[in-house]
Amino acid sequence: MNSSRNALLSAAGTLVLLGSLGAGVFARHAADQSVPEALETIVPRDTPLVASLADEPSIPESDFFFRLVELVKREYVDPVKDENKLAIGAVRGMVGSLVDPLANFMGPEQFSAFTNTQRGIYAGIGIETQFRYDNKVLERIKQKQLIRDPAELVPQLLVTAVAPGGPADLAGVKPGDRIDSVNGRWILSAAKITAFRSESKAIRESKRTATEIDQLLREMQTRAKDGLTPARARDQITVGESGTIKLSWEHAGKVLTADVTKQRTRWPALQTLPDGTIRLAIFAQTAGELRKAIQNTKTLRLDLRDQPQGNYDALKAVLSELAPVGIYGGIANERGRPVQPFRITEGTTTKRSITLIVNESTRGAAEILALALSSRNIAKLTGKATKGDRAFVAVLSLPEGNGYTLPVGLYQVAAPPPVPAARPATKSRAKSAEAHS
Amino acid sequence: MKFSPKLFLFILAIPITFGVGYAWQDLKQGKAPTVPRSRPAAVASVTPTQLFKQNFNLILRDYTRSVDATDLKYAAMEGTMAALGDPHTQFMEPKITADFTKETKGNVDFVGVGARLMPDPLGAKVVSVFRNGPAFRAGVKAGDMVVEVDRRAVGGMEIDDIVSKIRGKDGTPVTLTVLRAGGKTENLTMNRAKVVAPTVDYAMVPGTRVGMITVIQFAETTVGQFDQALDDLLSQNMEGLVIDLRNNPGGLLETAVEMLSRFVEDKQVVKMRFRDGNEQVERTYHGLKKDLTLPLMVLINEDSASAAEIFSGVLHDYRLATLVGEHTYGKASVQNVFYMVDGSSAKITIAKYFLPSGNDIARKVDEEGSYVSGGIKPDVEVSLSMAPGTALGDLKTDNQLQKAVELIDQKRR
Repeated sequence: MNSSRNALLSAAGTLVLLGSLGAGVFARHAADQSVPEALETIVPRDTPLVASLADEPSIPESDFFFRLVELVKREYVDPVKDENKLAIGAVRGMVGSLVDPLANFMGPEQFSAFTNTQRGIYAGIGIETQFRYDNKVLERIKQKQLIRDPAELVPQLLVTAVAPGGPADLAGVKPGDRIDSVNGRWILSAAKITAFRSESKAIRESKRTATEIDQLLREMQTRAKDGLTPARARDQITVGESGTIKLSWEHAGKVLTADVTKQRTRWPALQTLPDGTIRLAIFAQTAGELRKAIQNTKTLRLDLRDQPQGNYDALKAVLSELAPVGIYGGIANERGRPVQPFRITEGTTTKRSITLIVNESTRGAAEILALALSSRNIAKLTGKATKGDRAFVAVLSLPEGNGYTLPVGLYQVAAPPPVPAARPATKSRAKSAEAHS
Repeated sequence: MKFSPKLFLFILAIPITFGVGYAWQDLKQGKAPTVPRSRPAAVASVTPTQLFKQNFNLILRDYTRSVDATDLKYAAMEGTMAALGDPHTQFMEPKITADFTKETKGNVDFVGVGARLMPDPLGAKVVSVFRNGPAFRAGVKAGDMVVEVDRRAVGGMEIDDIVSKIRGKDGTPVTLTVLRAGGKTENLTMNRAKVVAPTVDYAMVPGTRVGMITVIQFAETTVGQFDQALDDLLSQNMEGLVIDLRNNPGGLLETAVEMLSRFVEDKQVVKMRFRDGNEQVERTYHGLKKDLTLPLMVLINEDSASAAEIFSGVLHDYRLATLVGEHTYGKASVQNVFYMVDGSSAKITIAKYFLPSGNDIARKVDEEGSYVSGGIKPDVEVSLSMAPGTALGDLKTDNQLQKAVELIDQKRR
C-alpha cells in the first residue's frame, strides 16, 4: 500500500518536474521570439505583420547558421573570440542584400549618432543623407536579374535634410544636393565609375603623346583608388563633433566647395515664429512640447517644410495631440499582404483649425502626419506637393551598439475596409479623403 | 502529509528544472546559461544563433518587400564570414561553389591555338606563342596583332570575347588575320588542339646580356620548365637574371620550395602555424643549389600572390635578389574548402605562414574590402606605365623591366 502510494507520488513528482522543464524551454522560446521593441510601436501588435513571429519554433536557416559558426570556430586559424560579431555580420549581410536606401546597417558610432538624430541632436556637419541607386538597376534586382557589374550597385549620396543653423546649413547645403567629395576624395558612384571608364577609354584611344596619356590615366587611377565609398563618406560627414572637412557638393548642376567644421547641432522640435506659425519636426520630445505650446490655441499653422526623416515612434503621439481617436489611412506593403489600419487609440477632443505648410522636402514621419491629418479633413495642406517615400521605418538595435533601419510598411491614405463585427464605429470614417498630392 | 525533507527537495527541484529548461538552448550549445532580463528581446542576452534567427525572421516577414528566404540566408552567411575580416575566408553559395570547383580543376588545359593574348584597341596582341602549339606551327609570332578571327573584325571587342571566338572544338579550323609590323596583314589557318599552357616563358632580353624568366604560376610541371630555362640562359652566357612574377597567382608551395633550392640550401622557406598551435617549417633542399653569381632581380606587382610571394619574399629575406615593381597581394595563408549540405561551401583559412624574416605579410582590408596594408614591399618601387602599347616583358615599353635591367647594369659595373 505504502509502496504503491510512494510510486504514484514519485511518478507524479517526475511529471511535475518534466512539466516545469518543458515550461522553462517554452518560456525561453517565447522570450527569444518576442519582437524587438521598436517595431511594436510602429506596426501595432494586433496585426498579422508581427504577431505570427511567436508561432514558429525552429527554422532550418538558424540550424545552418549554427553549423557554419561551429565550423568556423573549429577550423579558422585564429580563435573566434566574439561569436556575436559573426551574428552581427550576418545581419549586416542581410540588410546590405536588400539594396534599399531606407535599410541601413550601422556600426556603433554611426548608430549612436543616428539614434541621437531621433531626438533632434545631429553630429558631423548636421545633415541627413540617403543613398540613391540607379532605378534601372533596382528594377533588375526586383526581377531577380543578375547584376554582372558590381559597380552598378554603388549609389549616389544625397542630402535629404539639413539641420537649421548647423554647419552644413551655414555653408549653404540644401536638401536634394549631392555630395561630391570629402577632403578632396571622390565619392564613388555607379554613374561616376561608368563615366570614369569611358573617359579612360577615350584617353587611351586619343591622339596624345604616350607620356600625356600615361599621366592622365595615372591621375584618374589615383582618384579612383583614393575614392571614398558612399558609406564611408556618410560616416565622415555624419559622425564626430570636431574637426574641419573640405566638402564639395553639387547643387542644381553646379559643384560648390566649402570648409565645414563638425559640431553638435540641435534641431529644435518646435519653434514658434513671430507670426505664430509653429515650425515642427517629429522627434521623441515633440508631442510633449506641442501639447504645452497649443494648449489654448484654436487656430494652428504648422510649418512642415524641409523635414528630417524623424522619429516614427513619436509620430502617433504627435498625431494624438492634433486629432481624435480613429483610423488615419492604412499601412500597406509591396508583398501583397492585407493593408493594416493606421490607428491611434489616444486622441484630442479639442477641435482646432489646422493649416499645414508642406513642400517636396516634407518627408519621413512628417509627411505621414500631413497626409494622415488631411485625409480626414482635420488639417488643410498648403504649399507644394510632398514627394517622400511614405515608408514606416523601424529602428532595430543589435548587441555592442550596432543597429539597423528597416522599412516595414508604406503609408496609404485609404484605410483598409473595416472588419464589420469588431469595429462598427470606424465604418463611416473609413471613407477617407483623397490624397493631397 | 507531514513536512518532510523529501517534499522540500521536490519543491526546490521545480524552479531548478524550469531554469534548466529555460537555459536548455544555451546548454545545448555549450554556453553559460543566460540570465533572463526584464525585457527579453532586448539584445543583451541572446545567443548568436538566436540573434540571427530573430533578425532573419524579422527581415523575412516585416520588410515591406518580399525577400527570397534562400537569398537572404546566403547573404547572411556571406556577412557572417566577412565579419572575420579575412578576405580569403568566404562563404560560397551553391552556384559559386560549382564555378570554383570547376576552375580549380579545369584550368590546366583547354582547346585553343596556344597563344597568350593581351587587350589592344585594334584587337588582341599576341604576347607569346607556346612552342609546338597550333599557332606556333602556323607561324603566329609574338607581337602580331590579331585583327580578325574567321574573317570577322575583332577590333574594340573585350579580350575575353576574342579568346572565346578563337577557342572551340578539338580539331576544328580557325583563321586568324594578323597585322604585322610594317602594316602587312596575313591570314593564318590552324586546327584547334588541346593546349597545355606552359607555366614558364624565357628569353634573353633583346639587346642585353640579361636573361628573363617569366613564371606564370607554380604548378607541378613548373620546376622542370624553370630548370630548362635557367640552363638554356646560362649556356647563352647571361650576366644578369630577371624573374618575372607579376600577375602570378601562386600555386603549389612544394614547387616554390624546390625552385628556391636552386638559390639557397637548407634554409627555412616558411613557417606555417595551424589553428591548434602546431607549427610546421618548410626548408629548401640540400644539393640542388646552382652556382649563380649574377645579379638577380624579381619583378612583382599586386597580382603576385601566395607561392609567388613566398618565392620573392624568401629571396629577398636572404638578400639574394632585389625586388622591383609594386607591393604584392598579401596572401599569407592556407585555405581549405568545406562543403555544406545544400551545395554551398565555406572556404576557411586554416593556417598562416611566415617568411624567414618573421614578417606577417597578410593583406588587411576594411569592411568594404578595400586594401589597407599587407603584401611584400618592393626594394625599388616602380609603378607600371599606363601608356598605350605597354606590354609586359617588352623592354621598350615595360618600365618595370627597364628598371630591373638598369639595376643589373649598375651592379655589374
